[in-house]
Amino acid sequence: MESDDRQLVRQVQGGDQRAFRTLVERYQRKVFAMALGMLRERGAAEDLTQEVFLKAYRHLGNFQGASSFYTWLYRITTNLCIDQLRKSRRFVEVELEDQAFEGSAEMVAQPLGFDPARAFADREIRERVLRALDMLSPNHRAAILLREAEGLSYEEIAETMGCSLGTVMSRLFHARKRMQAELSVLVEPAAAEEGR
Amino acid sequence: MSHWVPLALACWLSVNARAEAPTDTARCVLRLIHALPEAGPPDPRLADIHRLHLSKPPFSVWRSFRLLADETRELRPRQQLEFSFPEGQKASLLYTEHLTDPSGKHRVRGTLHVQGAHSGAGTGFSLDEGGLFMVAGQRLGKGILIYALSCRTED
Amino acid sequence: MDNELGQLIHNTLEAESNEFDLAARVMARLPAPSSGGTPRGWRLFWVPALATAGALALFLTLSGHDNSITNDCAIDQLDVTGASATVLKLNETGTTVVWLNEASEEEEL
Repeated sequence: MESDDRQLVRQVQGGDQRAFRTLVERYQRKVFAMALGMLRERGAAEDLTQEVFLKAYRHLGNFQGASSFYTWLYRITTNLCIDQLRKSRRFVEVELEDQAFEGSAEMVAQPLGFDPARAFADREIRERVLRALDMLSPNHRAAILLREAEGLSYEEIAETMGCSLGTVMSRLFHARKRMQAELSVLVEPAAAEEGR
Repeated sequence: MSHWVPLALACWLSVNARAEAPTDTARCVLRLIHALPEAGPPDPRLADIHRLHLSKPPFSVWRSFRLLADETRELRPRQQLEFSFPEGQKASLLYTEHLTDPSGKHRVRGTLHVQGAHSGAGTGFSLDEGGLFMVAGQRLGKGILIYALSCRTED
Repeated sequence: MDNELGQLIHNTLEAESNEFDLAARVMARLPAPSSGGTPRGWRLFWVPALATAGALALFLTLSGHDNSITNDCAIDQLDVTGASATVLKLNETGTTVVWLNEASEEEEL
């Protein structure tokens, strides 16, 4: 995929708009998913997705290929989302814990206690997940979305967000902890049913 | 003297061409080894790895080694493969990408998940092409399991 | 994806973005392509140069590149359940081993 992306990028740099359409079709759902997770509002996420691709097209001439195309695209997405959230001031920016992280506590993934596949069928669960994401600061939200929704490695997240690997781990640790707490309410109905 | 200039340029370009366009398919070998406390006959299929690794600490506390499985697979970037071994263990290997560092060294990045009866581990790694990476310690009977992984991107 | 929470986030966003398609809208908003693309002079120099380099690269590859296998392994991430883990670097070979220390049967009880 990456070598194919590089080829498409070269074609776009040579003036081939069809190649750019292929890139848009390939990544639009991922960019939209990231934007929706960050902004929560569908309309705003759609507008931002368009803006991401238009910005990518304008700047593709300067893209040297030092990073992969998708990490570059996610960097644009993350920056635009964080800018937008900062403008709307829908959050309180307190991230002192970024510096207070000591390593291994992050390593163990806690079980959630119910089947994640329920999200496909249950709109209310999806709404709850988006609301839980909304409780996170923009940087924590971006880190967990890049990791869980987009499947980026820690190094790619560090590159995308322009921070150290330790900061990525810290952000993921705190984001997961907060999300677990916010979503624990989803476990109760299932547990209650089992208890009957 | 001047004829060396195009040759030097061609050499420089060839090195960079290789760095820019690496072969992306990886050929990975995953071996599952059972280390046992009892003495036993040496397994000839493990001769190399025994000489280099298994005969030395921390493996040398085990007295015999048995090759349970030896799987060779080809993977494309971002492709994940599942492995099921004869004793019921499961492993999955996600090959993420092929990297070339500034010195021209080829590396393979991926994630190896191993699931035993009592514990599981997922390790994201960046390994020199042809190098060996191991996950060890899960219990099986009186012994332990050792997963040994090696990947190459070019023959 | 290495945990249920991650799977839940992933599934949520996949379900929400499943039908999403704005390629036509993006393409309609692109500026008209400039004529010419890459300058011709660039191609005149680089195409033969790269062809020469390609041939040489092929020669180097076929003649057996990277005969000296090194063993450096960086652990980018480690998620462990049901055990503690130690990352070891073996002395002579430099091989990296993730050693899982499972609790004994007695400890589990």
